[in-house]
Amino acid sequence: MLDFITRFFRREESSKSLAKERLRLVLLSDRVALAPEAFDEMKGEMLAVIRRYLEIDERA
Amino acid sequence: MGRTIVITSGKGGVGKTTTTANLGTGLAEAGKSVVVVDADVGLRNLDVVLGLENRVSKHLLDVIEGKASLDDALVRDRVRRSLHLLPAAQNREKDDVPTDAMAALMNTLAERFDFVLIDSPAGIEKGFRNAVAGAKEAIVVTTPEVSAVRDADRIIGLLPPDVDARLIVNRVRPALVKKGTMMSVNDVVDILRLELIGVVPDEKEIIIATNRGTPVIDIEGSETGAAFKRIARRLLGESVPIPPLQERTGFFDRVKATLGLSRASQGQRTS
Repeated sequence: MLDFITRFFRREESSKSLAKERLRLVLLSDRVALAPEAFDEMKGEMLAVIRRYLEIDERA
Repeated sequence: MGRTIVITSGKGGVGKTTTTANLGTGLAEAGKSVVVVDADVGLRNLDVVLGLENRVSKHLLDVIEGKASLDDALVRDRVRRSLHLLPAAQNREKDDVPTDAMAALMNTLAERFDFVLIDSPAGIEKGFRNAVAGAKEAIVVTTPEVSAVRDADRIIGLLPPDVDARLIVNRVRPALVKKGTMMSVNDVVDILRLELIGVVPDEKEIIIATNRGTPVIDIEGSETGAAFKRIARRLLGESVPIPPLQERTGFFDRVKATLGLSRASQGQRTS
């Protein structure tokens, strides 16, 4: 029962953190003010650079 | 020269019109001459929120197009004689309003009134640009929700650099913030990085006030009304601290307070 209660409260706690996290990500892409194609291109190039040094799971 | 302040948000339904009506009322109450301008052409609502809908005859576009004088279009509040409404046209579109003419009209109003409060439409299109055109200051209204904060961020970026912008966080529910369900005011300010001019709690009085067409400021004991009054005083340059949010005390809170069990009983309550 106590476990249930603490789990319940923890979930409540994360509602706000989830909102903040999602906002941060969405504002990150909003604020860069790049055209969507340019943004995708940048992401692709960054990925390519990282791939040169590290192994990346393509599906992730 | 009076101050021209646009009330804007990006997202619809966060409380721009209610904020405009209540700040206008609060400033008039403080003895200032005020005109509230409905810039939401085609979807006017400020008249209804102020309970002045039956007295609207001419509107903003009539004035701009020279079909009516400013005095014909202005509706004067019956209770607070220094409060005036310049209604929007309901049967026209936002694109019908030339931006230059709008800015010129706001200047004319600023020569006559201490405060010109412009109720901006939602969106980032011409209606918004027109509402901002004549303004030197902005009040950005948001709520502690992802969509509202995102749109506020966008709007802040679209405000001209010489416009002095401040933030109102509206519809805060203290009980939910305390539980961690809702983002707090600090969370929102952290993200938007704008000077906070007020925090407005959500409560049922606002619904009653809107239904009646009276400003919530007039409803006795309303925390929402008190918050708007404080914001009006801050606009006048008074230093009024933003009190910590107070939860409405229910039956159990009172029992707990009596028994000395709740935090409320330890002197944390403020008003």
